[in-house]
Amino acid sequence: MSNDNFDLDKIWQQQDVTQVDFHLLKRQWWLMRTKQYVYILMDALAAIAMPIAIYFFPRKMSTFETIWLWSVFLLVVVWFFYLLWLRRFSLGFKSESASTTDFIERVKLQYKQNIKIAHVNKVLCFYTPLVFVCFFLFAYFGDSSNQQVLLRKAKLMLLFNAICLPLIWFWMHKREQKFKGLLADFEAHWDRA
Amino acid sequence: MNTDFNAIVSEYGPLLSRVASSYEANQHLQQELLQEISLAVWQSLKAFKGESSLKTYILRVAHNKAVTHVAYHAKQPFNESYCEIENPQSNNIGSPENQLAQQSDVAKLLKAVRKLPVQSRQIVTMSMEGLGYQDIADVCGISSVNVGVILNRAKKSLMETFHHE
Repeated sequence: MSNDNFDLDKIWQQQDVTQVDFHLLKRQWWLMRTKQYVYILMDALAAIAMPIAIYFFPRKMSTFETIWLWSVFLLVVVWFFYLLWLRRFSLGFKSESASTTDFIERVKLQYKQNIKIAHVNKVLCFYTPLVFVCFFLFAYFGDSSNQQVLLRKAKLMLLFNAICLPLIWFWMHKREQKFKGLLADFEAHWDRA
Repeated sequence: MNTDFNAIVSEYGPLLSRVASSYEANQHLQQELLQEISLAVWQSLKAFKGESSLKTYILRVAHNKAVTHVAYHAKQPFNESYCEIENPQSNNIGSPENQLAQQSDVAKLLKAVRKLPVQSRQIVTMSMEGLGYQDIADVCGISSVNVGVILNRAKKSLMETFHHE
């Protein structure tokens, strides 16, 4: 090693250093873990909401209703595990100890997956009312015993969809745009580097 | 927070702070980055299997965290009024004249380091922290021959900038 290099190393080691704030660190750790668990809990609740509702509010269901509900439940469970897989990096399976080259690719992949999650949720906002409409149409013209009660429930459900789904769509749209921006900035930064 | 982590931060805290300073010139953002790096190190310690030295492992995590931080903050507006930071711990020794000269050298070196492309910056700072070619190659995911080439160029560029300032 030359003297010049030795001097650079020495100067480098002489710089002033900042202390880690342990109190803040504990709070950040707790917040980060809580946020991750809340996301999983929300997804899990969405998946198990239907069996819970059936358990707490049992009623006699027609064969059509039973098949329909369990089919939707199955799809929601599959969706839950798909989301879990897409979120695997942000849930701590991401190895920040990978080499920088690998890590950069993983960060890009995570941004792309977050964009995908937001986009699929936007698409679901359009299909959810359709699923409900189909269900009520089949039940109305099929084996429903009380059509007046069914109509009242259909109106309530559609009203609920009309209020909630645009809000969810808007929220997901904002997230999609945010992650697209972050991905573009990240790629631009690393292309320059 | 376990005692191991406290001991690790006590030992490697200054190194983490130097990593933060090589990516962020602004003191507030440096402090923020140092916190993020420390959190990432804490999170990653359970995955440490002893395949490299602890110092190499910590530097790898630290640089990866810095990579995402810098890309994220590149276009973010910064508000200076929201945080307070403690005075940095000084490493200066000797007479006031020596201290001033030392501070000036450190400032020049940091300015020159931050001007380097990210990969060169990463390699040169790890070298100045005492890591060998193979360790640096493992951290960056490139060959040790490449590390040698980039390091020589970067040091030459640093020396030129340093002496011209």
